[in-house]
Amino acid sequence: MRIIDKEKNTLFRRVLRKPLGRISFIFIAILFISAIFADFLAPMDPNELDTVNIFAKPSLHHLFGADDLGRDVLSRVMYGGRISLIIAFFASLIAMSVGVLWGFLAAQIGGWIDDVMMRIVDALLAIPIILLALILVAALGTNVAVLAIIIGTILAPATARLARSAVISELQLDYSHAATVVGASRLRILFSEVLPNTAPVLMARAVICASDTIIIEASLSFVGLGINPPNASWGSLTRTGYEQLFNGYWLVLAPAMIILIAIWSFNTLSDQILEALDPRSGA
Amino acid sequence: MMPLLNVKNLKIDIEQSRGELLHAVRDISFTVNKGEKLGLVGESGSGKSLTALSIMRLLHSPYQITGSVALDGTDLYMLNDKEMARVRAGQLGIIYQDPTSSLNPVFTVGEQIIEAIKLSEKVSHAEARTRAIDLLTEVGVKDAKTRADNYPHQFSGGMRQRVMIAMAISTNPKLLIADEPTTALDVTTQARVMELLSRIVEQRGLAVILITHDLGVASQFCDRLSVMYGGKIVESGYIKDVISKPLHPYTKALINSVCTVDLDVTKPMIAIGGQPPVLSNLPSGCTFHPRCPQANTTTCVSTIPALVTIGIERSAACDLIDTKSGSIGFSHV
Amino acid sequence: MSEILMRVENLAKHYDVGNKKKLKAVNDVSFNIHAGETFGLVGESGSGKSTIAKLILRLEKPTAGKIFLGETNLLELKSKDLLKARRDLQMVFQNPFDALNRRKRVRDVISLPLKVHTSLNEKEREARIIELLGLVGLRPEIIERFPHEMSGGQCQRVGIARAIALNPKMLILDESVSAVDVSIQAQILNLLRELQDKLHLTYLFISHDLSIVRYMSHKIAVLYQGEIAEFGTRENLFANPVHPYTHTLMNSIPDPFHEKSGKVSEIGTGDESIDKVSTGCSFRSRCAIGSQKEICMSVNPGLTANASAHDLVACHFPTTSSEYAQALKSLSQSGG
Repeated sequence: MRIIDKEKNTLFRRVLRKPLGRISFIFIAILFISAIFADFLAPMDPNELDTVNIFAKPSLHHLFGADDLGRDVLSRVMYGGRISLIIAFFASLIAMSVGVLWGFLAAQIGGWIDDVMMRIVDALLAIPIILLALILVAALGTNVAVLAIIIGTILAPATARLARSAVISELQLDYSHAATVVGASRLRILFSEVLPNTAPVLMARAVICASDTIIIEASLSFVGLGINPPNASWGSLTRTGYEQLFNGYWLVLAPAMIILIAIWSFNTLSDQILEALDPRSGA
Repeated sequence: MMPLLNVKNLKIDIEQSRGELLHAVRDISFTVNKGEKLGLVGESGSGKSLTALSIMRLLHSPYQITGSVALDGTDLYMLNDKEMARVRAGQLGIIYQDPTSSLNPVFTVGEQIIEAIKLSEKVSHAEARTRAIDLLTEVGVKDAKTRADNYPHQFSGGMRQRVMIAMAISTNPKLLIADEPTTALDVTTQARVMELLSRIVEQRGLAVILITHDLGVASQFCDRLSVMYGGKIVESGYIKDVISKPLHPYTKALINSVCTVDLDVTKPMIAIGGQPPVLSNLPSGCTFHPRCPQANTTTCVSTIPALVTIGIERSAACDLIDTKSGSIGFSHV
Repeated sequence: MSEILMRVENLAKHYDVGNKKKLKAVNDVSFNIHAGETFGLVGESGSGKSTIAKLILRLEKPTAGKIFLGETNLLELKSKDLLKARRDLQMVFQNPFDALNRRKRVRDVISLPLKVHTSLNEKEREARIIELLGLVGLRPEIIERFPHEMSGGQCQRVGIARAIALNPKMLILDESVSAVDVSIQAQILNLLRELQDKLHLTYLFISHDLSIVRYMSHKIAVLYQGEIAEFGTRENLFANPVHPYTHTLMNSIPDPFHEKSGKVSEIGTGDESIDKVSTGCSFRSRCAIGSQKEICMSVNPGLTANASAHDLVACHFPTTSSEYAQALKSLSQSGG
């Protein structure tokens, strides 16, 4: 772990040096901070009814306007971010843990076991994501925990593929052979030698998982199979906003734009991490 | 007689991510006459490959190039892109080190030669194809008519390099640049390819710049030799002179480092200490001084020695050489 | 004559390349290495020299053969015994940067073998590492560096330090100087020779460069397409080579001090892919003599003792270099 921290620092700095890296990172930071500290940062209570200001247009008082019950849209979006980002975080965590373990094992064991494990991955990847999500939600229900598990499981196969190919290409390099010749066990080679080298690629994937989760959760909530009122996520806010589109464009524009910004930021950050990997200075 | 290629005060800098400049090639000048074969010899960091690429104007940002590169009197850096493309197509040829990556894998060998021909002259496809087949035969590809329709991966490494040579000479260039053409080949294949190159170059009266780290290859092929170190030319002259009577301490050390079949196996090799120079941390004064057995602490550390003419077609950049007599004021040899 | 440290017997590695064909990367190779000597394997691409290294180190599984280090057959060892054997047999790789983990500092690179095989604590390991760095001519400060912060020569020295960390009996040097600058090559070769004396090491020295192999090795085996073409002591091989491939190899080396060197001395298309043959001697299509003889096309010559040359040759018609040059001349004159 020490190695990953040290190397994250230099990778970190290289990513932040580029303007796109800085912008995407700042956006993500803003989104997370406003979600975590919504209690302090939100201008109003998201559930506070204000019948005087029903469908109020965006103004200084309500930066993103107010909804059908006079609730401040900005505040609702900030609190909604909590749910969306929590799901994104845990789904990503699950996808990475399961996927990386699966991929590493397949790569390390090799042979027919590797083939079987990868065919399972292929089979899962063949099912359209949204369809799979709908089926699982229908079967298992929708609350934050279940959604995180479902989406994490859906994103695991692609992660496994990535992890496996990363490991295989590292195992073909001379330093891996050197470790074998020196007598290191396969497990040691995998975790002590190879893993640090695959960390950047896997980090980029983790960031993409967060982005994918936001899209999937938003899509599910949009069709009513994700987060439902009174809980609000960006997706469910978009849905209710969409239903009330003719009462105010801001009702759907605000959450949808935040989703857009979130997805763009995660994707860009992931790209920047991959770019910063360029073997110009040893990453 | 005007030289075919006249490079004057060439400087190549590389702009780093934080804005600093690395000086990869530091003010070099040299000429190549018509039909002459010049060898540019050096190790990593010497700048030899960059020099060759800069002649063809194949370097773009972050490389910054100043100086003049005159081909037949025309400064190539004064031309616009279209004119330069025409010069590249018709008057210059280049052979790269790795034949695998320099040939396009999705086009047949014949198609690639034909493309090169058609880029420089207006000929019909049929005529270009005939010329391509003749060229392939000339470089030693048997059964050229059928082989022209093969893809690069269907050729061995040595054959691919021959195809590269065919492509390079297909437009009858005046100057051929060969950038480590045989480094990736086996020694027996290398011998064949270098012999082929020799023959073709003689037949067509081509001028060649051969870039290599291998003194042996250079000595068998080149007429003149320029030794590069740390972005500068440290010695220049006819190949026989440079190898039999090297003037610059680096040239001497390089020659001593070559392992030959008659080396005395009971003695250690005469090796220079230290590492090749790192561009981001070039020594002050003479770039070679940290590794030079003769370096003194006054001139060598502070002044960059200029390339001084010592004899006919003979020059060296070392302040310790007595320029008048051409003899070397060293205590050891 | 010191005792035999390594015995390679009938080593073979065949690959299936489809169409029921087999690529014989290594084909029935046998040789002995005596303790304290350097055994040179010289060959070009396709000769199988690197494959032999991989087979000995069990990075790949041979199709057939035995490899004895001392009395034990390395190929039959399992986990714990294999681990113990690895202490005695280490390797220095070709590419100095690739051979080191780009994310590890020099300290971590060299401590790996120490961690795996010894129970030294951190302080003891550090001391040992600094001692090793001194042995390979590196300053102790380099212990903090990453590979990309060092030069090729320095990386290769770190690789050597790692290889000698456990006081092995034998080192396999697979093209260990091919990927560094010429001036650094000389440094590394001197270092290797010095270490051999100091630490009583035995070397298997693999290279495509015949001059370097000669400088380093006491005995030399010339490999061609998976088989030993000629084998002898350094002195005998160079005084009196008799295999046509050896002549070809020696004549191809461009020597900066000799005019006539580096010239082609073989026949054929020069298209190496066509040159591979399935029966008879693998060199025949490039051989001035073999291309004209029936027996060379049908019967694969085995390695036999050649009294005049005092070495072993796999050839039906071993000749001196002048005879071979003559054969080449007459063949080219007759339009061959």
